[in-house]
Amino acid sequence: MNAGKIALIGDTDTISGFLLTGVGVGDKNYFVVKDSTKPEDVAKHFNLFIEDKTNAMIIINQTIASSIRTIVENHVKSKSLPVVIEIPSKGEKYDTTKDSVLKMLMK
Amino acid sequence: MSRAILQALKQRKTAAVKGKNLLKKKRDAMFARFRSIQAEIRQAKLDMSPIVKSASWALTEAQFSAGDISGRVISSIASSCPDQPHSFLKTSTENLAGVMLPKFELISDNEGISSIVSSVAITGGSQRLKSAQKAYNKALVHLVHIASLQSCYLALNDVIRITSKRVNALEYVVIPKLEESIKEVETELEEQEREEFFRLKKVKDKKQRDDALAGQMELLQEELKRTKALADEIDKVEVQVGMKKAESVEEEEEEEEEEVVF
Repeated sequence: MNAGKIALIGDTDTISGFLLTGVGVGDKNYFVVKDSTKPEDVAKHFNLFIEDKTNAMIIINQTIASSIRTIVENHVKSKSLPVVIEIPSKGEKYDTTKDSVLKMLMK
Repeated sequence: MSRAILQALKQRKTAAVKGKNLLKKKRDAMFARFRSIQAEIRQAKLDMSPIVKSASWALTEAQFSAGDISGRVISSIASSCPDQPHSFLKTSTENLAGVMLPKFELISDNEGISSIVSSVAITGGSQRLKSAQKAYNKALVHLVHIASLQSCYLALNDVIRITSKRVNALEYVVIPKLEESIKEVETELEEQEREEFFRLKKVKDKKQRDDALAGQMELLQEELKRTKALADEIDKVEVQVGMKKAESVEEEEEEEEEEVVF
């Protein structure tokens, strides 16, 4: 048995909502993405989070995941941990055809 | 090429077939599980959307009464739990036919979580904030459930792929190769046997011929002996006859002498 952390990549509301549940560790395991944030920065943090062995799960908004889709897909295909979960962001509809894992499921 | 090699090859083939069947069983067991997980994930992903939506709605409501709290939440987390989260995942594994499937469980420190609300909701609206927290907690639990399924799915996917590869390798490469070698050795052995049989037959034939010749030789020799004996006898008879003739000549001479005397 191990303890695993939950990392967050998302817009301000998603992050603060999930932080309310107490998953945050200082300011190390979440990354707030604003409209002005570049995809390279998102990719950098995503890579940081998947490299961190203490992370068991990464929650990411689907729109943000879509901006770094190839990186997400490569991770999902090659490694089982940490698990990447895509969630809809506020005001956005969840598109099942874009989800990296569901895409694999459909094949 | 010998019988020992053939035996070893046959043993290896039996082992390969056994292994193949076992792996096939394993793959089938995983595939059944895989299918059920696949269906579960799809359902869970579809269910997730409304759950997350209602959570963000609850947060909007909280923001309505408590003001824009996002910044405060973020800063309070940074100061209240710099090393350890209040909620984390307990990861354990489930053993399915020798494959470790990860399993997650959300562990929450309730006191720590309530302290987040009290530190954020200074200007009131703690009730709304609490319900937003509850809504997000519900969403998180659901996401953890999805994470469990997802990691199981990915782990199973890998294992099934590897197992299928092995089954195929055994079925289409290893076993046919072994069968081929067994056939080769068998024909070789058969040929050897045929050669050996032929050789033995030749030896037997030769022996029979030798025996027959020897028998004939013996017969001839006996015939020779008999002929020789006969010849001897004839000689003897001739000698006797000769002697008798001589005697009679002498007698005649004697008679002549007598005649001379008279």
